[in-house]
Amino acid sequence: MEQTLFWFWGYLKMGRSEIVERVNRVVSEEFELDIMSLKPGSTLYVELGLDSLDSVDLYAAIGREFGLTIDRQNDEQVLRGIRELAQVYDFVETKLST
Amino acid sequence: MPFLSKPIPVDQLVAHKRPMLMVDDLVAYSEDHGVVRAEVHPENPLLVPGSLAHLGVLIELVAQAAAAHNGYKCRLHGGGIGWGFLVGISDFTFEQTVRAGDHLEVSAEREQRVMGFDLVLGEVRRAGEVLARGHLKLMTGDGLKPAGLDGKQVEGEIVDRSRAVLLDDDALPPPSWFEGLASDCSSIPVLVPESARIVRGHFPRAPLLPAAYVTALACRVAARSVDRDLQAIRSVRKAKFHRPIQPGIPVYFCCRPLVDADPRLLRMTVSCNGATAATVIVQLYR
Repeated sequence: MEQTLFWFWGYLKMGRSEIVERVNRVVSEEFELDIMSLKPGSTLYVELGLDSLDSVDLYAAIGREFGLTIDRQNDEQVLRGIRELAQVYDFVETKLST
Repeated sequence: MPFLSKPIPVDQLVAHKRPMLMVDDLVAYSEDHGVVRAEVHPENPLLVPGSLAHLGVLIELVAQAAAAHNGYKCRLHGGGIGWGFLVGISDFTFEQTVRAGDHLEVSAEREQRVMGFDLVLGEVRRAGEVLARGHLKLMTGDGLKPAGLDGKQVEGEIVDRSRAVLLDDDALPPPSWFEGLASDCSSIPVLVPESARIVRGHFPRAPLLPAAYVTALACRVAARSVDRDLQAIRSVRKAKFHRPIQPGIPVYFCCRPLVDADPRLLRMTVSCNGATAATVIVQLYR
């Protein structure tokens, strides 16, 4: 019984590595970027060459990928402050845990 | 989604004016979804006979349906008419052509709102048959007035005005312009004057080239660059409108394969004033 619950919890609670993998896949597909070039420290607006319109697509695609709703009051302030991919992983992790 | 007891004329809800206003009445409304009806008028400036610019008409119909929905929402909340600017397109697939006299139903459903932009799923139907379907990204708001809409010219040197192909009452360049295309980039710009029908009513006192029109032009150039006609266009995979294009400014087109191995995907870059104004990724049928 305990083992089953542990497995179920593990299934529900997505690990950081899976978040990283899925976010990178979304970024790579959405913006035609080489997935191998994506690093946690990659800057969205300089190294990856995104602009503000791209960031809207990025967060919309991430919302679809993870079934997240971007809350206008709470999330958008956080999103506007994001500069690196690692912060995107953090955002998804936080959203999934709440 | 509830149908309205009485259809609401869209000209009361949006900033567009005829002939660029292409939808007639809002007939159904919910918080995130609107349906409008439209009759395609013969004087539709995007519907030049033989131009197959129906691609632009179909995109513009969805954009205007979204604008009407937003306009009605603004009215319900006591605001003025709503603004809505097309800033992006994704996976917009063309199934059928549209013709003058068609009676259409156009649906615009807001799927997400992210950082002030509405992501809308749109569909155009004729007697239940889907003509086109796809996603638009719109900057919307009540009283919103984005940069470039204050009637001032965009900064930058205007070059090659004298060499430009003037597009006045014809919404697409003449065949000679396409023949003059270099292998992948246009060396001759096009120039749409403020008096052109395509600009009149889009918008009064703040004229802009409709993004749907720019997309239709880009599709035509893309098809032409690989010796195909516009019917070869399957979809606009993705389009991004970086900055508004005002009339009277020479506009250049450049076409490159998106992926070398896949000749069906072409990336069009539209530039003016020395800067990229739009990128459009076009998908062709095999």
